[in-house]
Amino acid sequence: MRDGFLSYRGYRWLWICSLALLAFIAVYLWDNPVGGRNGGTIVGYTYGGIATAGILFLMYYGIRKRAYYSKATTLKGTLSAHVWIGVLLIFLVPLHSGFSFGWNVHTLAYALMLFTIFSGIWGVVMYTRLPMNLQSQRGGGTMTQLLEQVKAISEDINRMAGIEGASKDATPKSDVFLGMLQRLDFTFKPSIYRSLFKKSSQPIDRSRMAALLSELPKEEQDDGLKVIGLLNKKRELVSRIQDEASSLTWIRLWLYLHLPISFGLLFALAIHIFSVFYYW
Amino acid sequence: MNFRYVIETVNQNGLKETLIEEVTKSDILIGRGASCDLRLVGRLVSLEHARLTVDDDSISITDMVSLSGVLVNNRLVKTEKLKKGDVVKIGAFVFKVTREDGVWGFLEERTEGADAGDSEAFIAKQAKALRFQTFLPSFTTLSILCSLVVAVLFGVMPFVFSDYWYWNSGPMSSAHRMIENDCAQCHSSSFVQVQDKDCLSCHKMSEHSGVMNEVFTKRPDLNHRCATCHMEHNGDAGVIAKESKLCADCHSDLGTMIANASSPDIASFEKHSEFRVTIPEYSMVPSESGGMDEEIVSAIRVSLKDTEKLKDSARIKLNHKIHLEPDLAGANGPETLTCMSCHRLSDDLRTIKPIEFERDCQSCHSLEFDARLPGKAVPHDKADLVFNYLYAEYAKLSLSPKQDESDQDSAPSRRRRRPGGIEATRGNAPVEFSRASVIDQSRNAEEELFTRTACHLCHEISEKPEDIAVSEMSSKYMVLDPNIPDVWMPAAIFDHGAHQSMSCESCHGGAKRSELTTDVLVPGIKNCRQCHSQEQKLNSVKSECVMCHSYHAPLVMKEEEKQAIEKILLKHATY
Repeated sequence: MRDGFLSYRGYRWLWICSLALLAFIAVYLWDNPVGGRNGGTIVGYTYGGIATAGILFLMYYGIRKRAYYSKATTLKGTLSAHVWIGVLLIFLVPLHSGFSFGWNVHTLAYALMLFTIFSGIWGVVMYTRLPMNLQSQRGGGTMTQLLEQVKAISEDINRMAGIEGASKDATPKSDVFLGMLQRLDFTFKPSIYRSLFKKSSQPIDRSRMAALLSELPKEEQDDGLKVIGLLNKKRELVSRIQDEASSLTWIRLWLYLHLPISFGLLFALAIHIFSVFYYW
Repeated sequence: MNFRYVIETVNQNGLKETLIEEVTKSDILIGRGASCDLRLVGRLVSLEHARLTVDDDSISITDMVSLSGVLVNNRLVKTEKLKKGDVVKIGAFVFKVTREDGVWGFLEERTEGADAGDSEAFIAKQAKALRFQTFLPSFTTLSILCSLVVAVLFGVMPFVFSDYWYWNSGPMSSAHRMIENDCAQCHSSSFVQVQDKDCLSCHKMSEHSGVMNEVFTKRPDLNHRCATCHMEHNGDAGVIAKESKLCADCHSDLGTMIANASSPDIASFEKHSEFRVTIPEYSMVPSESGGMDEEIVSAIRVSLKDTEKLKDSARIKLNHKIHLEPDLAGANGPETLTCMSCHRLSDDLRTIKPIEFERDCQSCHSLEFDARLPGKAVPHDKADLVFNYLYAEYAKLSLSPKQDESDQDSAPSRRRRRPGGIEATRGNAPVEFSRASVIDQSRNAEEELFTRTACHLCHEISEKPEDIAVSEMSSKYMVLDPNIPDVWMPAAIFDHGAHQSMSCESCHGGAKRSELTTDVLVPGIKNCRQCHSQEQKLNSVKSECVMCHSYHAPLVMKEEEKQAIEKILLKHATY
C-alpha cells in the first residue's frame, strides 16, 4: 500500500497520539497553577520534558532509517510513529508554554519545530500522491534511458533529413521538408527550471500533420510521415522527462527544509532548555 | 583559382586541424544540394541557398530565396558586396571573409564540444541538469549551516555581548522593567531558582507583616520563596498573585501556626465567616491629675452575627425610618428623602462621604433660636461658640430700635414649626440693654437649644461637671463627640461606585425599618454571595480574596530602601 505508513496497523499511532493529546488537554485544563499556566509550572515542565523526548524520537528516525538490520521494530511502524508524534507536537508545545509566545529563543524553537513538521507533512502529501504517477510515467525506464532515447530519436530525425549519417549519394531532402522540420523539431536542453515551470508543447495533432504532409513533394511523403512520427515520439519523451524531473523535485525538495531545519531546531531547543535553567 | 574555403577545427585537446577546399569558378553556388560548389549540410540550409560572384577585385553574395536567408554582419541581405573581415551567416554556419594573396575566401572556425563522441558523458550531463540537487548544497552542508546560525546567534552571542534579551521568557512587570536586560540582578546564581536574598537585596519585606515571617519560619514544609507568590516574566499580571489558594495556604489553618491568631480560619470565600465590623468603645478612667474622668476610645471588632454586641456606638440620635417616610416637611414644602439625599458618593466614587450638617441636614433642621431674629441661626459648632453667638445676637437686638409688638406676636404662628425649630422665645418683652439682661436671654436660649430643641434633637449633651468652671462667656453644656463611623470595615476594600447599578436598599434594606442609632445596617456576607463566588460560576462574579482584602500591612518604604532602589535606577539610567 502506498500510504501504508499513515494507516499502519489500523492507524495505531494516530489513535495513540489522539488519546495522548486528549489527556494532555484535560490535565492542562484541570491544572490551575499560581501565576497562571506557563512552562515553569509542574505541568509545564512535564509537558516540556515529553515534547523534548518526542523531538529526540523524531530525530532518531534519521538514524533508524539507516539501520537496515534493525529487527526490533519495523521501519514502517517507526515512520508511522514519526509522522503522528510530529503532528501531536504541534499541539503539545503550546500547552507546555501556556500559549505564551514572544520574540525570543523559546518561541524560535517552536517556530523551527513547526517549519520542520509542516515540511514533513508536505513530504507526506507528496509521498502519498506522487509515487503512483511516477511509476505510470516511467514505463519501466530510468531517467538516463529516457534521455538516451531522446538522443537516439534526434539522431534519427537528422538522418531522415540527410543532415548527418546519410550517404553522400542519397538525394538531399527538399527545402519544404527541412522547413517542416524547422517548425516542428527542437533542440532538447534539459533544465530543472523549465521542467518545473515551463512544460514543452503537446504532440502534433492529426489535422496539422495531414496539412504538413500534403505540402511535401510526392517522393518525400513517406519519409515525412516517418519523421513526424519520430517528432511526436520525441515530444512525448521530453514531456515525460520533464514531468518526472518535476515529480522527483517535489518528492525530495521538502527534505531540504525538513532535515536542515530539524538540526537548527535541535540547537534552538538545547539553547531554550539551557537558558531557562541558567536563569531559573 | 578564384575562391578558397578554409575550415579550422579546434579539437578537445586544443589542436587545430585545417581543411582547405579550393574553387576555380567565378560563379559559386552554395547549398545543400549535390550540385552545389560549396556543400553545407545543415537544417537551415536550402538545396540552393546563395550565390557568390567573385572576380579579382570584388566578391558579392546573393540570396536565392533560401530557407533561412543570408546574413552579413548580422543583417539580412538580398545582394551584398563583401569585403575582408565581413561575417557571413548561412543557417548555422558562420564564415569570415578573407583575402589572401589576392584570393578571396571563407574561413569557418569550429570547436569540437567536450562531449563530442562521448555519448555517456553527454547523457550524464543532461541528467544532472534535471536534478534540483545539482543547484543546492548537500544535506550535510545545509544542516551544519542551519545549526551554526542558530547556535551562534542565540547561544553564543548573548555571552559575547552580555545581552540576553532574546532569552527573556516573557515581559517583566512595569516595576521591574528597568532591570529587564540585567538578568543577574535577580538570577544571581546560574541553575538555581531566584532566591529570597535576591529579592531582599532591594525589598525589605516591609510590605509584609511580621506574622508573615513568623509563619514562614514555622512552616518550612510550605517551601515558600518570595517567587512562589511573586512571579515575574508575566507582565503586570504575575507579580502580585491573586490566587486565593495562596492566602488559604496559611489562613485556612491559621490557628495551628500562630499562637493567638486574631483572625478566624478561612479557607475560601464560600467558607468565609460573617463580616466583623469595627466599633468604637468608650470607657471612663480616672485622670492622672486626679480631676475628672477621661474618655478613652478604643475599637473592637464585632461579628454581624453577634446581635448582643453589635451596636452602633455613635453618639447621635438618628431614626432612619422617619427620614425615609414620604412627604416630610422640607425647606420648600413636602419632600421625600432617598438614601442619596444625605449619603453621597465620594469624589473617587468608591466610598460614601461622611455626613455634614450644613450640606445634609440644615435645609430641614434649622438652628434658628428666636422668632424675633428670623434667619439668624447658631453655628453648627462648639457649645462655647454657640453661646458666644447667642450673646452677640442678643446684644445687637437690645441695641436696635424696638419693633412693632403686633408683628412679633404674629410671627411664630405664621411659621410652621420644623423639627428642632424654635418657637418664639418666651418673654418677648422689650429689653433694655444691660449686660445682665443679654446674658440672661442668652442663657435662656442656650438652655432651650441644648436641652429641648435643635442640638438636643440629635446630639448627646451633658451639663459641664461642677469641677469645670463655667465662666460668664462660656456655655454650660458640652456636646459629646458623635464619633459616627465613616467606614465599618476599614481594612476591607469595597467599591460603592462599582455597585451603582444596584439600589441602596438591595443591600442596606434594614434602613427603612431602623428606628435606633444602634442599628448596624451593614449587609452580611450572604448578601455578597448572591453575586460573588470564588469558584468560576455562571452569573457570578469570580472573586478572589484580594478583591476585598489588601495584603497584610500597607506598603511603607524606608529611607535605605529608597536609596537602594535609587542606586539601581542610576545604574540603569541608560536603558
